[in-house]
Amino acid sequence: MAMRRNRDEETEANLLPVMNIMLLLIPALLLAMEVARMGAIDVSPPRFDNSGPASDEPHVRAQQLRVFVAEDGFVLTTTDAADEPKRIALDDDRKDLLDPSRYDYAALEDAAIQMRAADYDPIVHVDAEGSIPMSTLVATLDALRGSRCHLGRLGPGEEPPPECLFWSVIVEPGSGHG
Amino acid sequence: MTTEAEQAFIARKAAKREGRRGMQEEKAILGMTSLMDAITIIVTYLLKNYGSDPVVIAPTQGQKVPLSKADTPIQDGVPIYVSERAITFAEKRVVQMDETGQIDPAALQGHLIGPLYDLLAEEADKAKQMSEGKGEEWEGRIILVGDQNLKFSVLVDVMYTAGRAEFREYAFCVVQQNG
Repeated sequence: MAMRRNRDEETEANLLPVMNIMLLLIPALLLAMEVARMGAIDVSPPRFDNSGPASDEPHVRAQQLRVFVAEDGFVLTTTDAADEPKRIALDDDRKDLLDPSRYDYAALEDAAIQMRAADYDPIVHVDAEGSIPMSTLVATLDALRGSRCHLGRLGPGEEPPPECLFWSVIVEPGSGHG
Repeated sequence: MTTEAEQAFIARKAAKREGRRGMQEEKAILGMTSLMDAITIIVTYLLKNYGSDPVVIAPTQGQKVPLSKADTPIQDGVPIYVSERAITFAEKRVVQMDETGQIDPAALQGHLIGPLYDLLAEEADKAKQMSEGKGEEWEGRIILVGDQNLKFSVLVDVMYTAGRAEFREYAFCVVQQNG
């Protein structure tokens, strides 16, 4: 009898305030959450292709760009080193080396547009001085790829559109600057 | 100074109040089902959002991943975290950096980072075996999660070491910049 009385006296937990708090907390946490969308820049190491030409026909290969990121600006050359190196000076040399905005990316992108218009390959060989920070390297690759290029919107097997300039990157340390 | 209409209104209110006092208060019943439905939807959405990325990138403490306009999504690969303090792989601090942000010379043989190479080679062997078991080709992809101040020389050493451990594809992890 005593047991039955105890069972009758059991009260249900009042979940209403808990649910109220939960419903407020979930949107608050969602809003407070810092969402950093991660992306990737695909790069390739230097390739050493020792296999000869597949056929007797002369292998016609487009000119390729080399970019060297120095502490005092960019140096642009070509893979056959036929032309004089093109130098792009710093945008603001008073800024610290760790500040990527010290470089003139607009001038670099302009040069990239001109070179692509001159039928250069979309492959770019990138090298830098050992002290160059990764943020500068990434900003350089952004400028070389083109500010209007959106590779993330491409479907599988789709070719990048013309607004994508030098989108295929080969990191080639030790290649120097011409 | 109240008007007749106002007095009538007050009287009606008082009458209503009197009437309510006599009635038993109604107990509100909470519809838990709809609330649980909403919470289930939110939790499922969040889990799906987190689970959709093939690789979960969690930068190490104090590490700032560089900003970029690149919008290419991260593909499946093995992440290596390189901060100004240490190189971290598989949640282990593999190599410490010195005050200048360079790799500890004791861990370096030329460009090869010995302790990192050992772990990467082991990882490559495991991944190759798994791919063979699945009948797929091993991609050998490394995701370099570098600090924004990471020096190019260190980056080259890490890439060289990964290359020696037979990793063939590299991606720099970046934080997508708006616009």
